[in-house]
Amino acid sequence: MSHLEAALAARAFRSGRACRSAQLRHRRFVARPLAIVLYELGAEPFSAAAISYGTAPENFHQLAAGEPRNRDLAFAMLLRFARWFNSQFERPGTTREVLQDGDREVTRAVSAPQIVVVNRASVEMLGRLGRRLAYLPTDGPRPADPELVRLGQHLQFLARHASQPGQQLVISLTDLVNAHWVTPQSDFERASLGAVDAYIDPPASPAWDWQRERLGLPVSTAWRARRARAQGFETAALAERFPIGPVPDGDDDEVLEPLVDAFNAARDRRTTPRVIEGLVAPIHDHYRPLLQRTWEMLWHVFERERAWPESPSVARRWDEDRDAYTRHLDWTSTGGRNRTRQTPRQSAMTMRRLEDAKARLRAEEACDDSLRMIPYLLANKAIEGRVVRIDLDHKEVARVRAVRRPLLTLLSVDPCPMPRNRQLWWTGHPRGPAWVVQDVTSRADGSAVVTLQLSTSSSGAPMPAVGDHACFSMHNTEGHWSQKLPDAVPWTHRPATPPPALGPIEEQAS
Amino acid sequence: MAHTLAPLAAGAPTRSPTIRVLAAFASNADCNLASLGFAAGVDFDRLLKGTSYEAPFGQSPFAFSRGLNFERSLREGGYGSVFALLRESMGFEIADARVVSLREGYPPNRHGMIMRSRRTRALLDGMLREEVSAPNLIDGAVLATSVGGVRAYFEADALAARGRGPIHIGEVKSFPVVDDRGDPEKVGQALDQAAMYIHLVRNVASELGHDPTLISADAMLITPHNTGMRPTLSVKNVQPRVHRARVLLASVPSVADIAAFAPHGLSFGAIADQRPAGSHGKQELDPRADRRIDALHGLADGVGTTYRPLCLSTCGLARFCRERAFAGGSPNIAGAQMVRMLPGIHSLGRAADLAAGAPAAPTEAPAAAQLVRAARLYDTHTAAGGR
Repeated sequence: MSHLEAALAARAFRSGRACRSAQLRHRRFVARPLAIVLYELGAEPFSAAAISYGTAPENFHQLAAGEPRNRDLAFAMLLRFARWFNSQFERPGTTREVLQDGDREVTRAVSAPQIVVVNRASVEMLGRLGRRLAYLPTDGPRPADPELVRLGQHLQFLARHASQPGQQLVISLTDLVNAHWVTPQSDFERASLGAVDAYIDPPASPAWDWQRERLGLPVSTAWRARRARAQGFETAALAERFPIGPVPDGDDDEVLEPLVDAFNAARDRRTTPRVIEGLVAPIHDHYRPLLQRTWEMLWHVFERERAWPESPSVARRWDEDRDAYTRHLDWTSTGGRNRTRQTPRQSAMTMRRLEDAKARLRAEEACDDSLRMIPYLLANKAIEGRVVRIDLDHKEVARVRAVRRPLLTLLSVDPCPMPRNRQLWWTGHPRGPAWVVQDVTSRADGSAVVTLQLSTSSSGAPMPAVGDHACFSMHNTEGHWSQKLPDAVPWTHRPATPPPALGPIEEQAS
Repeated sequence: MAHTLAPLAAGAPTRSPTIRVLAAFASNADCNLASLGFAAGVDFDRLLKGTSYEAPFGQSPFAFSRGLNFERSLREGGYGSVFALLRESMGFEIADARVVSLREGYPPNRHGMIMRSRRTRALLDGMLREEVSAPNLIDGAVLATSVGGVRAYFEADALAARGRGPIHIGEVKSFPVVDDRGDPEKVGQALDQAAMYIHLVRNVASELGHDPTLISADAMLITPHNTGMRPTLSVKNVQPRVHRARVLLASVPSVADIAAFAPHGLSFGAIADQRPAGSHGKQELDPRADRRIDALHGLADGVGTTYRPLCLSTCGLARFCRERAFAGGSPNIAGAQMVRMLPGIHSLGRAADLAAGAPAAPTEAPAAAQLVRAARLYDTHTAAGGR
């Protein structure tokens, strides 16, 4: 946490409304995302009880399994979901562009699908469903539909890809909103999309309507007036009372239990689609308002965040996402499977990749968006000010001969406690050459004069002009080369027990 | 529970004291109100029913029956599947299959708990002495401990087992373990409960003059494997959690002292929902809600509370306390990190004033300087609209 966040939280406490911590939207939103809302039954984390999905607010589809603890019924619903999901997910992969990778030609999907869910718990649930489906046998005594296996592989990929900082194939709205707004709430409260949303625009929170409907109140003038005056704290406390999944509320499941009992009694162990279709309606209807509530919240938040301008760097990360998506499609089309537990080598590389992605994401966001740079200014990892002088012809003796090393002088209104020789990058060109702190002169009024020296003689290096307001920071947005790992895994990194075997996790034949 | 506190709990919903409840309480042990309610045996999760602060801790009946089914399946055939696991992973032998269950044959009241705790003590003594007749497995043990100076008895969900080595504690949970992993949050809670049990059994061992380390700090977790109900056993060392349990329990202030600060004649009964069951809908508000909340404010003002966001997931009064903390602008409402960012600043409102340029007291000055600068940069950059 930075002092910026503390100051904004205090301000949000005072005003009763969240403060925006970014001027841009740092994730891409595609025109027609695949929105998914999930519900579990009780404590059955590897089954879905109900799902709704669609690509636009009015495009709402719903499925209910009836008895998700029964494998046949659980899979029957997931198969219907798979037919929609797989076609939507795989379609962007059919149009490819050709890229040159060294002397090799590779193809990349020109577009990629984007999955939108309300919270991280939903992403985790998709991952668990993926785990269950991806390794099902498609032959033998109980063959699974290949469509289900593909769904499993896609979900597993997405859940894994979701941990990459800055990725945009999976949008967990709670995380996205928390990364763009500051509220005086704890992490626990901020895990509820309804509660965070309530702080952003309290009167607009859908929870007000839900509560009115629950209590059976009319849309009266008094009610409208109360809603218009609503503050973040009370609205958040109200919104929290409406669960949005995937973990069900105990009270909702209590209403559901007799419906499921009646359903099971009536179907009498039968699982054929014709029988189920005739009996599942009460359970379907039970989930409908729950799913619609979450659906409404999802699009309410998505549309509001969509209105913010997109930051420039999302394009580069979208290219990476398309790469990952293309690799995944190509790997699964060859029948490739993934481990559930990485090898030591894989995990070392993954760790490195995630750390790099995180560092690069921070750098890109800070250079794209001046609000994102403030924590670094406060931490003395960046300086900003007016450019008062540029000496393009300054020369330094490097080894033997004198070379051109332009000097830039910056007037900062704040003190600049920065050591000499620290490397900084101009935010206007953060992939460019570094600038080195040459000299800092503090002045009596608290301001500072900072002299920076360009670390290259190239005359083409872009730089700000005299009179410009410029910011130099620790961030450069250049990627890193992957590290060289030893050929053999060192004994320190060998697992004590072999990883669990790869296979289906079905236990009984019920 | 404690007889001296009985009037305090009169008319309020109570809950049976289990190690699960004790482990959940341990994280709120520095809150006077929580300690008082806990010692009096009040069920905070149900206390505020019918008010706008009602706790959202209703359990799904599906989750509940899943747990029951799993426990029942373990008890089937003389705990056959448990012993199979103990032989497979813990070095038990075929002969080691003597079980004592204390779940039946005792009255379901305090007297029964005391009888069970005596029996538990005798059985543990036998196990520690490695007597031939001692059981290898105790189910439904009851352990006594002192919380804030009040003697209390706790029923254990977990099993205590001894084969050829130290005594191991086994917690039974019905969440699935897949690829050797379970839901981290649920695993954490299970290990906290096992650690609490280990701590209590070690106490008993010390009192009996045995070496407490004969009770292993390696907790066993018995859970379903994959999507079915076949049990599997995982072992995890919980020594740090055992230590934490001991420290937390030792830190509970004297409940008698706390009770002395309660307003005279006020009990948890005045705060409880007194509507007859079935006379109202599930979500329906109690017309007496305001009076009940006033009574709770009186109690909270008298004894004092300690709110922090963690309470929201463990204490049934958390929403009430959160609103009190919000009204006072406590930085606590935003979490411990926020508290650390604002040393010397007592409220978020004050922080907002300081950031807007209010003169700072010497104790506030270091944090205030940063807040002022942060707010100035924010306003400059928002006004400029980007780079």
